[in-house]
Amino acid sequence: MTLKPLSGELPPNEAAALDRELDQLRAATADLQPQADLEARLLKQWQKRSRPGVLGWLAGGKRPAPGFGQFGVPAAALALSLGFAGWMTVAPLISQAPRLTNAAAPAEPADAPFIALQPMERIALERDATVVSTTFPRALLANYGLPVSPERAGEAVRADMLLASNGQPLALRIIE
Amino acid sequence: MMPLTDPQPDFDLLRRLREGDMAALSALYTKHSAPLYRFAVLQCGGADLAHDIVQETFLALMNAKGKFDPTQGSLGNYLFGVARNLSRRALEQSRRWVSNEHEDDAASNWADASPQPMERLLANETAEAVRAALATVPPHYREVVILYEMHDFSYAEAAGACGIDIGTVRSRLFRGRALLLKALNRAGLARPDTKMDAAMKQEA
Repeated sequence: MTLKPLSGELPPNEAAALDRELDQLRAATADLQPQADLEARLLKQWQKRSRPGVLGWLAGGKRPAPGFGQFGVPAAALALSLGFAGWMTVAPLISQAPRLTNAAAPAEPADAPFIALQPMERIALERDATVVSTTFPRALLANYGLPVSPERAGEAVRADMLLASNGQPLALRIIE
Repeated sequence: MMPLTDPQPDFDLLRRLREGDMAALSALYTKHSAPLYRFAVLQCGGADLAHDIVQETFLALMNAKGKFDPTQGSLGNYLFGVARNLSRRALEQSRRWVSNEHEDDAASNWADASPQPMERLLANETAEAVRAALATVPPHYREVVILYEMHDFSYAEAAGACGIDIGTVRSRLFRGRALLLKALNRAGLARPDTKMDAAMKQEA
């Protein structure tokens, strides 16, 4: 009995012949390397561009370099709106829209730590994160697994939010 | 298949890179540059162009603003995806190929409009002939053949790097291998083993 090749596959003898030639190519290309000076060129370019990332800022309590002041309040409002769009989709019961307060000048750093809302790997990779101060209904905290007492669900919460450049909330610090 | 390695060291290096650690860039370069270069050489057929692609791939990584999502796959696969896109763009700009990507089996729709002398890259004659034969396979088949055959990508990893679904990877791989075999046969290579042929006929 002969083995019939599957539709689209090469017959075994042809496949074996092809694999023999590909083995030659694999062996011959195994040691190929880019030019030695390429790494040095990249490192030079990197030196010109490097700046502290978000995690360093989170740990140190300082604001990241580019703030909303660079782009103006409309950009801040847009980013914040995008960030909250996800929340509002998940929690349609919330009728009170979040209110941006003083986006261009976030509140002074508080003692409370930031609570990560995304995996740390995701936060670590964000270079253009921005902090905005905002007020929103306490009930929204439940969407991120934070405890909310039912009797206080309707109260407003003031918080600093760390937003990614695309508006995604990355971390949260409750002010009051 | 591609060896399963812990992606965490790459993530840590990337985090350090984002924090401005130059040693992290160096470590990422040491780990990923050679495979990317080999891919670009085979996909684009020129050492200079391959260097440019490796450089642009790392520049893209350095400048990336949240484009790499660690939940979507390894950093290595992401870099191959960037290199693949840069290669495609370079090939399109060179106007050497006229593509009809939507007709997956229409190899005849691809034509080398302005043949150029093939740059010799490999010392081994047979390997160089195989590389030259691979260069005649249309790019959208070739990239899948290179990733699967030369870099041990799985169907899923090749699909992620090329931005296509697994079924398309499978069909392009089969078609690409068949086209490569034809090109090799034209060059007098990859002749089937006559003993194996005879044994198969006898079995039949």
